[in-house]
Amino acid sequence: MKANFTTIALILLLSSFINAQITSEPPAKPQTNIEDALKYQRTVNSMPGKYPGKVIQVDNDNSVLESKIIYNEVYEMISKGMLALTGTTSLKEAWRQFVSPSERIGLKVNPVAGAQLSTSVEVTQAIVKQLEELGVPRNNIIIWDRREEQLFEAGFNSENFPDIKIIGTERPENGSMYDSNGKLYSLKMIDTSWYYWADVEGKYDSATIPYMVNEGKYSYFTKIVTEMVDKIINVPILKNAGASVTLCLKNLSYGSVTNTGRLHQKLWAETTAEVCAFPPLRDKVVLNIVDGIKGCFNGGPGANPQFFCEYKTILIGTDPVAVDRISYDIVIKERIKRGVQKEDSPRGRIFMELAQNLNLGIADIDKIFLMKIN
Amino acid sequence: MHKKIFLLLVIFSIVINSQDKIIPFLSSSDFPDIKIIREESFDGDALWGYINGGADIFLEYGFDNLFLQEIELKNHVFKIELYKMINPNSAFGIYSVSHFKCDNKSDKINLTCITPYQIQCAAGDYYISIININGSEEEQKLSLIIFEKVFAKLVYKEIELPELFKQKDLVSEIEKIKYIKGSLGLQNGMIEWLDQFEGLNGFEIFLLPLEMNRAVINIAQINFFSEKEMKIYMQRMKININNNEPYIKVEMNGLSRIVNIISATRAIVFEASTSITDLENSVKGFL
Repeated sequence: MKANFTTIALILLLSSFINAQITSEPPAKPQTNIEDALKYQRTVNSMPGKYPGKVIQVDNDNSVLESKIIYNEVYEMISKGMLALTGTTSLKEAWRQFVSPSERIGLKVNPVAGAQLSTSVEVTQAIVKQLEELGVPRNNIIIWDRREEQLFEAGFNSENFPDIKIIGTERPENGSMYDSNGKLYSLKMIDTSWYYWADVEGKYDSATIPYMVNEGKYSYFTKIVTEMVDKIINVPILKNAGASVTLCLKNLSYGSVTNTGRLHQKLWAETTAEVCAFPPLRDKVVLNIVDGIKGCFNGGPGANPQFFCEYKTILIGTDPVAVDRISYDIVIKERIKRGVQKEDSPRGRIFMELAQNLNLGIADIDKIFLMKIN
Repeated sequence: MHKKIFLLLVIFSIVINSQDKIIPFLSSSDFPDIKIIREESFDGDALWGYINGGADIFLEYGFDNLFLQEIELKNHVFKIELYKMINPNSAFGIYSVSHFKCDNKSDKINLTCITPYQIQCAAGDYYISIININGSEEEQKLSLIIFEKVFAKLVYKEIELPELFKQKDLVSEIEKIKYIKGSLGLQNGMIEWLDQFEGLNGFEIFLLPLEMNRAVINIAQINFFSEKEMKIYMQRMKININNNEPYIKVEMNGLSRIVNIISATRAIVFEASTSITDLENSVKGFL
């Protein structure tokens, strides 16, 4: 009798275990070293910056004419946005709140989808012009991203930006990614003292490694952010990534570290938020200017022309989370209008909630102050 | 005799191998005035090098390699991307979640979507995208000529759809069918179903959203790669697979579903935001 009871108990236990396995929640997320980031004292420049939760949206129907972005219009849009953000009447004064002429300023653009769907040359030129008007010398300005070749393809070259340094972490020298010892030149560009660790192994073949720089569980920060710039102005393009967006936080996080291939599948949202919590980004990004003149509502982050659209807008704020949240609504609204999505899914906003929990900005839409200007 | 058989085998092997190694790049033999601006191929994960995060969906579906060419023809620039996927389903899947409102289609080639700036096509293992810069009439015409040249270089086998979609009333709807595999496929093809498949990795969905009797009905065949994954899905969806009825009817969260269990790993699902009776009346011909 006792044996039978034990047998039944074991069967019940086993059955409940199997049941638990079957109905179990998705597997736990891999560990990361986010706790390391949180140990560093915040500074006056730390995200979300001078204007937490404040977003300026400047719309202008004349910003595109026959598919061409009109430089003068976008220059004006950025001017209006800067004045509205800072509440000043002088453009120089507005810019001076964030940068000074003696600082080395990095413009983090997004060039990954070619000339048709990257941060535009015109918006970037308008920012450069306003920095110059403040007195920032051109040789104190750096336009950067991970992949130097893609910067050139998207129009960030010496012809469009004379005397401005254009540089990527992944870069060749003398036409080759490798030196005579078979070592990647890009290794010189990474700072191994700053890293994002995640318990996901990156392993790449020889064709892929030049784009990832290193394998393993560490993603190292580029020296561009740790050494080469004092302040960063983040200039992403307004586009979707599936049913979410790839904007301020994503542009910074995935654009600043190596070995990202391993992070996409299991830690997309976590990486997007957590990498921005490390001081080289958290304490240097002073402004986010979303290039929403042209963008896409589907097919992103790749470039699929039938999903391109003209949003004819620019969004500005110091708070990358709040800017992402407002921009997210613009993209989702367009997706619903065009019929690619029926309703908003909270999943698309997870990365912003994670960032809010890390005190990088405000994701709660009710707490964001949006000012729209025409 | 043996020698002949051996020779035939060698020839057969060469033919098979040469099909595997098609290099479908355009050259001056295709267009005497062609100017090659860029010519590269990317294998496996190296696709990240070309489109960063945009590569993820291709890798999720199963990617083999990409032949990329940027050419100049009659002073117009075109980008030709030929993605070789691991099988026809994968290529069709990418095509199915990448095309939207097509203005036109090729009258010679199936599964093509033509818009002013782009031509897309799924042909066997290949997903083709040809992009022009300005969308002008001349560029559109040249794009079509380029597409036909590239297409003519391909050797491929047509996709084999599940029997459900070969039925008389559905066979003509192939352009609307989405093949979804994995989380990014769902995000791009059917975001509303993302929660249903959370944490599941081994599944594929052939999905046809079809308007019937003034309601949109999602008609899907879902193939799971294991019985365990199917059980998880069925439990989540409150579908009792031990039910002895010919098909199972479930109403949940304002949606009606009729489920036909084909095997321990495959099911056909009809879903609509109508009453279960209306849904049943609409789809009874497929049950």
